[in-house]
Amino acid sequence: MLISWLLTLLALPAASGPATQPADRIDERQAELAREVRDKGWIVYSARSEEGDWDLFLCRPDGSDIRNITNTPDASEAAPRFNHDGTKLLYRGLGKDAVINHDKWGFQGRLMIADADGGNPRALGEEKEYPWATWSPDGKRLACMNLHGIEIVDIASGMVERKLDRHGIFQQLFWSPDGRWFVGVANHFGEMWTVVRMNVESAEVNAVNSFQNCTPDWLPDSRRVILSHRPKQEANNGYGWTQLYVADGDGRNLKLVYGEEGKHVYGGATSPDMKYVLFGASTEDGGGSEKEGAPLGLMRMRDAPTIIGESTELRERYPDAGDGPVLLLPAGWEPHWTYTDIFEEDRDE
Amino acid sequence: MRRSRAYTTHGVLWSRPVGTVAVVVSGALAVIAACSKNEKNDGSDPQMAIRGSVEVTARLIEIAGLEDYNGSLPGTELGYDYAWVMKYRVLERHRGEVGQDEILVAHYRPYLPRSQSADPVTPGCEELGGTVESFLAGDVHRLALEVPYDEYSMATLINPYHDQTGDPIHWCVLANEVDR
Repeated sequence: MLISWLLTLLALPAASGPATQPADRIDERQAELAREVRDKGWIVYSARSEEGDWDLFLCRPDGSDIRNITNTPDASEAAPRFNHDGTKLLYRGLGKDAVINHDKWGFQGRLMIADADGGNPRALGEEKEYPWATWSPDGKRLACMNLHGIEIVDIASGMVERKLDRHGIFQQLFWSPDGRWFVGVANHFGEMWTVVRMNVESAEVNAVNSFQNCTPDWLPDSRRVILSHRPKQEANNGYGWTQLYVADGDGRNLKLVYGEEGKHVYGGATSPDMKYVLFGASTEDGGGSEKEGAPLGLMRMRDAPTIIGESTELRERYPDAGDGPVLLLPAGWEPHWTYTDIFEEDRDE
Repeated sequence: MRRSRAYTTHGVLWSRPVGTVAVVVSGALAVIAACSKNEKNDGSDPQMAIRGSVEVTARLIEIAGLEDYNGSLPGTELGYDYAWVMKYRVLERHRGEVGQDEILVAHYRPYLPRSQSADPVTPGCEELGGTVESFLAGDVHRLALEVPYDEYSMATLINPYHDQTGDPIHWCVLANEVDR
């Protein structure tokens, strides 16, 4: 009965329209999870507004208290990232009608920096500048990546402090919280779509996982990477379904976090204490940025691996996997989580 | 005014200067006509001569890795843009250094004619082109290349030879058809 409820809930098509309604909860385990995470900070994500453009939204981790923090009918914003103390955001600012490319978004638009509540937004540079910008641990610098390499830039002065060879990394660069590593997607160590780790000091690179990986990010311990991976499968007419994994930065201990045949899972991120996992699950490959995004999901890391639905082939591969609970959040794209009290009323409580 | 000396040829009265010009022009036209009948497209053009740091004429000998894609290069159904690594045998070296007789060449959006393959978003892909319409093993192309791939392109690479060779991958900026 419990599994059938979950199947009913998660078989819903990707939500369309504005992200204004909290998730329906028909399962007590989900309700318990919702209560557990309700007051644990804020999740930021991009989503379609009522005007059809992309804005940035904050919501409580249970999907409640949704706030549009950019509200720009004449422009779009996407791919928000908190800095490590949760006081600032960076994101890409684009034209209202821009189609956000789920792979190339870091090359698109202008880099924007704002307060964590969306206040005081300012653009850094022009269109296509500061591509793939990622926060330094202290929030005072950015690492950016262009054709000629990785540049570490002082935000205040705009000066390039250091340049590194990008060693085949071509997308989705992220700087570890301890400052020692980059992770990104590279054209090496495999046939296609390899996630690699680079030592910031030595520029040495190792593969984290080869073959059809995407949307990597650091766990806050800076030792492990969360990533999406689509191994070779028979399912989906041999194309397979993309799943969510965690691996050590040196490429060992690849472990399934979440999978669901019928959905492609991207944009994985954890809570600051690594106890919870966020992701987007779309019926179409790519994460949904070209359309309406995808329903966002939240689960406990200790419930990994979780497999939802019949997922026959996946269950054969992971017979000991559990079945959640998974909390369904509003449709969006590229979520990120902070435990910081962003608003005055949070701090007064 | 001094009159030029005249002569007759086959009953036609010619003046010497006019006759000289006529012979030269008619001879030139005959040469041009002869060349046109045998002229082959060698893929050269002004852009080919200046783009890239390497220019070769090469035969496409293999498009590997298609068994997972029903035998043909995938198109937009993949959901992302990519460059596919293909294997060529060099027939002529026109410019730059090419160490091997067989080279690996990455073509961006290979399912499109080269004239439509450019991409304003992806660095290194903004000014691609050429006359090649499609890729078929056995075809001969004139290629303007940069090498190594990583320094000239940030496109997703699909490399069927990733575990076979450490040879450099060339990035193709222009690909022209060649008659053979």
